[in-house]
This record gives sequence, structure tokens and C-alpha cells, in this order.
Amino acid sequence: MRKLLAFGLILTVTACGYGREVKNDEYYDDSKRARVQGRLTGSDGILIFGTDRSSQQADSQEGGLGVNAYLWRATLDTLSFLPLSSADPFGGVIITDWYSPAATPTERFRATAYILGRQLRSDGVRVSVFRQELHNGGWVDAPVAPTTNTDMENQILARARELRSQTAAR
Amino acid sequence: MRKILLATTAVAAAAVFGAAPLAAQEAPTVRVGGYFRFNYAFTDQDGVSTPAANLGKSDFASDMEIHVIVQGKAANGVSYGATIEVQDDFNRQATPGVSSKNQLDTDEMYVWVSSPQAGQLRFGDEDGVVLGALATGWITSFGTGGIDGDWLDNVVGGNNRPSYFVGGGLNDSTKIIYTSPQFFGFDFGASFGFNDGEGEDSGCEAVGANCDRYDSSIASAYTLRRKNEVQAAVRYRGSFGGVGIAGLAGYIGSGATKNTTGLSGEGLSVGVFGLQATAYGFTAGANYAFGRSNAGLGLLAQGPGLDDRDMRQWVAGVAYTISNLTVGANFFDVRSAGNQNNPNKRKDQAWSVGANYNLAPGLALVAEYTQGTKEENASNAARTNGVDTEAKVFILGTRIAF
Repeated sequence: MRKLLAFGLILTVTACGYGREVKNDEYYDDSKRARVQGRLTGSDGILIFGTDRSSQQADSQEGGLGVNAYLWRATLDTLSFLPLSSADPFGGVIITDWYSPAATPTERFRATAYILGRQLRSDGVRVSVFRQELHNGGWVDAPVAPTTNTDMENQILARARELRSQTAAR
Repeated sequence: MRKILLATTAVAAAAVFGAAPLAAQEAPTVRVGGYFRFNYAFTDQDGVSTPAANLGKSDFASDMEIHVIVQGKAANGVSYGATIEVQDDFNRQATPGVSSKNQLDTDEMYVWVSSPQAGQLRFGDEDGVVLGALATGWITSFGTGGIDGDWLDNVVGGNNRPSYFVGGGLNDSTKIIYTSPQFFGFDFGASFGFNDGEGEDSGCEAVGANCDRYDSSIASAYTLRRKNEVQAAVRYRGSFGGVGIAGLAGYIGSGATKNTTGLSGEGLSVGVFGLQATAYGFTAGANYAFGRSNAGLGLLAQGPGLDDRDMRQWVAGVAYTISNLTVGANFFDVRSAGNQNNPNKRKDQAWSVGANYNLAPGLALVAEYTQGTKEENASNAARTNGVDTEAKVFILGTRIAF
């Protein structure tokens, strides 16, 4: 029983997700093919079926972007209701200008989004939304609802996932 | 206990198949990879000049592998795939079966499922964790692999080939393998197989020792085989001041088939420790194994007067890579019971030096010299149960991989 408890504990710890996934190329391979350095084709075997997403071909699908293309496009889509001030596709920064909704002319918003890398990950995008209110003819900083930033990030991730799914089906 | 088992199963299932962070889905890909080599070998070994026949020393030999690699990733982050390796593997068939030297068989074949949170499960014909996934300390990256390279393909007679083991040292018995994610540099794993059988069939033509599920028999039909093979290992990988370090502690254990009317043999119980370091183009490593086993992870029979001493094995090697050139050397030293009817200790040794030069990625020239000995003093005056043999093999060849 003690062994079972220990095994259960190990699985529980692993399930908590603190570890790093070990890829197949980090495991020992005793085939003779594995002892030859490099591959004539430049990739691990000749692609017979499917779409290559691990090599330079996949990189080219990023269209020269420095960050993940799906997150980039999803962020632009999601923030498209705001006027764009600047967008740096290499650094992964999108900054909008102030926008005042017609329904609430006494408040205005702007947003800054950071795309943090080339991986499509749930922590790959950060959004900061800023809000101001009109008081006595001048704009004054005002707090944003605590969940606004997270909601925007989730919206971007959902859109990115949608874009990715559409591409993966090809 | 049932509750614990159920809870454990639930945790494992949730970890592997449960909700995961958003990840890039990847439609499955199917790739075909391959390997071909051509060697010239000059073999100088004892025991190939007999009154009845003599062997020459030079020959050409070729070999190949074809790998089919399937890989995909689900939207929930779970990766999956399969690998099937086909090879030319009947290279030591008896002389009348010359045509069988070109027959193909499967080497490793398995399906795998991997979760970032829970690790990887493999199902199929594979080496396990100590001798496969987490293997550490065996340096075989130069020439054809040195002491674990092609040299033994050229040595005639099992009694002239020194016995040892490195990664892949047992056959690829059908098993289940678990390997964990990496935590603070450590990953661990375990594997289990019911017996030493591999391949498609679990049934067989007639009840007997050749069946995968062979469990026991009377003494006259008894064959000593592994049962319930277990491997467990923990590996560490880290970097200290630009020096990459990897270490392994592992265990290989098994039961054995039973002799119902006499003494049964013993299963394996072997500890394996490996260490290797990489820096500035150098890779050096060593592996030490000891425990209840004969040389090459053979099983020990039990009986009056049989030599059943423990096995111990050292393997060490070093390789240096500069630009397209890799040079290296390795050796093994094994002390074991050897011939159990001979009370003397068996000593198996080999050393090798070699180099490979990459003409292009995946295309290499290799040169290698290996020398091995097998010694066990005879225990009888007629010296009929001893062995003292040496083999020297020089290889010059080319290999290609895609």
C-alpha cells in the first residue's frame, strides 16, 4: 500500500504541471540511423503526409514576424475596434490610440498588447487597458475593472486558437 | 487499496487527458527516414582456421534501416505519434541461409502519448528506460559506435564475441514505458513487460518454451527466460559553468521461468549508474553496472556446482567533435560467471578508437579499429571448457541518413 501511495503522490506532483515536457529527441535512441549526424533532407525524414511545422518552412509561415503569427493576427482582430497608434511585428507590441465609445462620451479607452514569443501559449500575450473619464473639461485617469485585461487576453487566445484550427485543417 | 488505485488512476487519467493550457494543434504528419551503410572490414580473429576450413580476412558488408515516424498534437496540448523501424537484421544466420541475410524485420515499434503535465507513455517493442529512453554514460558517437558499433558483425562465432551490454542491450520485448516531465533537472521513468517476447504474436503454434507466455516446464524441457521485466530509472541533466552534466541511476529486474521438477534459474537484478559530461566539443562518459546477471544481461542458471557469481561491468568513452570531424575512443570490461560449468571467472574486454567525417549533413565517412578479448581459464586438464580468444577488426565505411 505504501508503494501505491508513493506512486499516487508522484502522479499527483506530475499532474500539478510544474515540470517541463521532455521531447522525444531528448531520449536515447539506439538505432544506427541516430548515430549519423544531420539528415540529407535537412529534416527528420521525408514528409509523406501532413504539413511541416517544425522546420524553416514552418517559420516562413510566420511571414517574417518576430512573434507568433496567430497571436499577432488575433490581437489585431480583437483590438480592431480601437484606432491603431503603432504596431511593431518584430517586438510584438501593439499600441492603440484613445477611443471614446459613442454611448459613453465621457470615458475613453486605449490598450497596449505585448506578444511574448513565437509559441502559441496561453501566457503568450499580455494586455493592459487604460481608461480615462471626462471631468470639468479634462481627462482624468480612472480604474479599469480588474477582469478587463484577462478578458481581453482570453478573447485574443480564443481567436488565435480559432485561426490555428483553421490552418491545421489544411 | 481499491480506493487508492481508483484515485491513482483518476489522477493519471486527468493529468494525461484533462484540461490543458491552450497549445498549438498540429495535424498529424507522416515521415519516412532511412539509413544505409557500406563497410569494408578487415577481421583478424582467433579460431577461424580449422583443419576443415579457413576464412579470409577482408569483406564488404551493407546494412539498412527504414523508419516511419508519425507525429501530431491535439488542441489540448497532448502530443501523440508512432514509430516503426524496419531493418536488415538477420546478419548472423547459419551459412545455408545466406538468402536470409537480406530479410527484413522490425526493430522498435511503438505508439506514444505525451502530455506536458504528466509525461509520456509508450506502448510497444522498445528498450525500456534504463537501456532506452534515459540511458546515460555510453559514448558511441564516433566511428560506427566503437565497442557498440559494427565490429561484432564481422566476428565469427558467439564464443569469439565478447559479451557486454549498453543502451538497447536487451531485446525489444513488448512493454509499457512511462517517462516523466523534467523537474529541476530530474526526470524519471519505469517500464514493464510480461516476458522477453516481442512482435505480433502472443499465442504460438504449440505449448512449449518458445511461446512468449512460457511460464514453466519440467526439467527436460526447461528453458531459462525472463519474465516480468521491470526497469526503473531517474536521470539528471544540468549545466554548470558551460559544462553539461547528465547522470543516471537505474535498476533492471526480472523474474525467470520455472523448472517444476528441478532448480529454476534466477531473474535479473542489476543496478546501473551512468555519468557523462559535455563541454567545448568533448563528451566523456562512464557507466557501471553490477548485480545478479551473467555477462550481457544473461540469466544465471542454478544448480549444484554451477558458477553463479554476480556480474560487474565498466563502460567508458570519450569523443571530441570539431567542425565536421568527430574522433573518440571507448572500452568495456566485464567480469562474470561466463560458462557456469566452469568455476573460473569470465573476463570480456574490448577497446576501440575511431573517427567519422561528415561530408554533408547525413553523409559520413567512418574509420574505426576495435580489439576485443574473451577469457575464461579452462577448469579441466583437457582445456575443453575454457575460452581465450581475441578479435581485431578494422572498418572503413560510409553511411547515409535521411
